Amino acid sequence: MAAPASTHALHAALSPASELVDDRRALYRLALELFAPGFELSDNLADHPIVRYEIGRALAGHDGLDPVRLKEVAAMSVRDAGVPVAADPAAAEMLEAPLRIVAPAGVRPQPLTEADGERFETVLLIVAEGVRLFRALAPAMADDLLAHVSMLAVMKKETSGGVVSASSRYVPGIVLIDEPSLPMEVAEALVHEGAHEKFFDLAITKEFLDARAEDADYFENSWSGARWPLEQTFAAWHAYSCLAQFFLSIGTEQLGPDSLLPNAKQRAAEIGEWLLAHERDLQGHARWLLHALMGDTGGHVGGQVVPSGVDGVAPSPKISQHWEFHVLPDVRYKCSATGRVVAGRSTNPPEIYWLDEDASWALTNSCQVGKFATFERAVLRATEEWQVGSAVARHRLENALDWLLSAQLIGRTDPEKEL
Amino acid sequence: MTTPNQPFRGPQSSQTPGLPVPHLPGGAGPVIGTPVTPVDWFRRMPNGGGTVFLRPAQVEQND
Repeated sequence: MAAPASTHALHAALSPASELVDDRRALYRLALELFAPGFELSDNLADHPIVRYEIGRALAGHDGLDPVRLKEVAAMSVRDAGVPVAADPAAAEMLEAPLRIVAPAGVRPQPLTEADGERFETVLLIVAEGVRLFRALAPAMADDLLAHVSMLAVMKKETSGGVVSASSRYVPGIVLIDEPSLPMEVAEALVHEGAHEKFFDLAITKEFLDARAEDADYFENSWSGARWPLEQTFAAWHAYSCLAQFFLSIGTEQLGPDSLLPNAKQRAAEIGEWLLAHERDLQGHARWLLHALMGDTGGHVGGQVVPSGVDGVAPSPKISQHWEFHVLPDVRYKCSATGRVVAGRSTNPPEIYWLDEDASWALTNSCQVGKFATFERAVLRATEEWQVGSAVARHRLENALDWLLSAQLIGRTDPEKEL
Repeated sequence: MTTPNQPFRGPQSSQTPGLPVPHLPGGAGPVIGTPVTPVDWFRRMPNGGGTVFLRPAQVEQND
């Protein structure tokens, strides 16, 4: 009998948390390479929410990127409470962006810091107990979600403007919570916002949503009448799904006064049903996760992919055996620990692509600058390394190279025509 | 259609979060993607950009 799959198991089937984080770091390192060649990002810097905010702004076409600024913001001091907690007296200034983004109109949330003395120390103990509680109640889920929480900031209750917890796609990695009274409030907030942080990382490393998401229908929920765009709808469904699972593990723990846990399963179901009816607007991995978490046993979960690809058109391979390939001069790429390659072009703003296994191999083996390889030589090498027949290797390589050509990551020459 | 947290492809049994990652049923693995996938996330700039959980008095923006 198969054990029931849970959110962390399904996440791991897409990518274990450690690999997902490593892929994310590779992407940010590539981005920095495109803006500031030669500047290295440590893991600590690559994970820092403000560093990711600054890089994200540059990738969105807003301003350039100042590597010195990245080191300055990363110098902000934190305290360890199971997760790093913003503690620097200057945190209000350094975390201006996330505090501004999540603030209700007319509100200016202020973070609690070491400058607040005993009040901060008391909250730090509650946060530490909340993290410990989360890990005790749902250890696998905690490992899965907390891997994506790089920092937590606590907002002073008198300044939070009714915000219980919050996160932002623009400042990924930081969770903001209202000043807690109970460890369980912290634990629930970490499930809720940790799920969002997980989603942010999935969205930039897997096939979840593309540009069409902005033109998709809006979802209107039954409990508040709020209308959400597709991205927020998927994020909410994902968070409610995690909360519903967490609710099953809490036993007799006292809930916080604003807990969503008792309503999570019902809300996840309501949103999930709407998403299933609009799944044509989701990309392959998002659709797979939706079906899997909604309990779809129809057997078609893994098989349906709408090619998101370059310009939304699947190329038709037409590769000449004489062609030679090379990585274009303005292209940079990084390999993650899993061997996945993320490549980018130094356009303004840069264009970034994830490559699958075959395309990664093609780019890193048969397209090296100064080492032009003919298609025939590449096929021979692929046949050997992939341990497949030459016809299979040829087909896979044709497909990969054609996609790389379409994305303008590689160029080709035809020596026969140059004779 | 079942609801979240019910078993995925298999007989229903009690969900026990926190257990070691269970084995996924055969044939139910993630989809195979395309060889080259553009990252659109940073280009898209939806309004707000924050997922904010507010108390009921401010509930309209809740996620």
